[in-house]
Amino acid sequence: MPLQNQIIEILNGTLQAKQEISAETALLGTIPEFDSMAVITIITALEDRFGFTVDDDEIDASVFETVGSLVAFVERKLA
Amino acid sequence: MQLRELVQELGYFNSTLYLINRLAAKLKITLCFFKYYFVVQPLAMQAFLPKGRGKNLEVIELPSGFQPHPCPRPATVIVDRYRQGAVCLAAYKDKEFAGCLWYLKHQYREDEVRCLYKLGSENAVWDFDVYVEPKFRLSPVFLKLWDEASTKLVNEGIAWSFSRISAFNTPSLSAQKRMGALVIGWAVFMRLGFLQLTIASLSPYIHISLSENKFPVFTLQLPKS
Repeated sequence: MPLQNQIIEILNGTLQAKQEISAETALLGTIPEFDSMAVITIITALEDRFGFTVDDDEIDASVFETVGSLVAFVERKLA
Repeated sequence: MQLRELVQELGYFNSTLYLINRLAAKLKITLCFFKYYFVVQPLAMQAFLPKGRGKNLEVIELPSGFQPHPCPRPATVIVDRYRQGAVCLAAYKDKEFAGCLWYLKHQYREDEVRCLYKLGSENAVWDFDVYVEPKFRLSPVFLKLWDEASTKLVNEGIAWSFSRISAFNTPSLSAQKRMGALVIGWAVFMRLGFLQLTIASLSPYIHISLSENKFPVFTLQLPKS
């Protein structure tokens, strides 16, 4: 499965938002369920799925602006 | 926010109150509606924050008289909270203030409207004003504060925390529910100048106040099961 689809799957599973999340979905400020608790859950799920570790200091609003920015973050971690 | 989105998020009744508030503010009328949901949340030793997260955060209790107090509220409000016996836990990252939360035992005098909350259980507290600095809003600060408060309180024999959430703040309500909070009631306050009309799902159900010294008292009880 392409990386982007895997991340969307994690987001949909974690947030259980009213709206379905797609590649075009903006995350921060548009999904009420997107708060610090959701962020920690998503980071933990990404760590488990891809085997990298994310430091607290790497958790930044810019990473979670859109699905695209989150995909770019995961790509950097996997590089 | 579009009207349809507002109604979707708040529902018809709460949207109407919200829009009346907006209109009154625009017309400079001193009419304001407040609607609160009362919630209760079980406290647990088990942390919400996964092991290894929030290690660079330090949580300390700020004593009364701590100067300058980092909580961004007026000094008179801070003094009044300590006078009521409130405890403030503050989180710091590398000595930088990141957020705080407050709680107290027995009872709390609301500071937005005129009412008093009495806790109907000795093993419960009232938590309020959980504040996180904007730059730390996505960080583990909130969960670190909550976990530290829970551990401290559970060690003191406290098992529950009551609080109130504005009906206009649905993200906060949904976050609390995801953490296990149960809604146990609601209250609507209409304030027009000195007049305050209260309608609530809890006793005294209806109350009219025309002065600072008259206010409804809500006794909050733990859920039966």
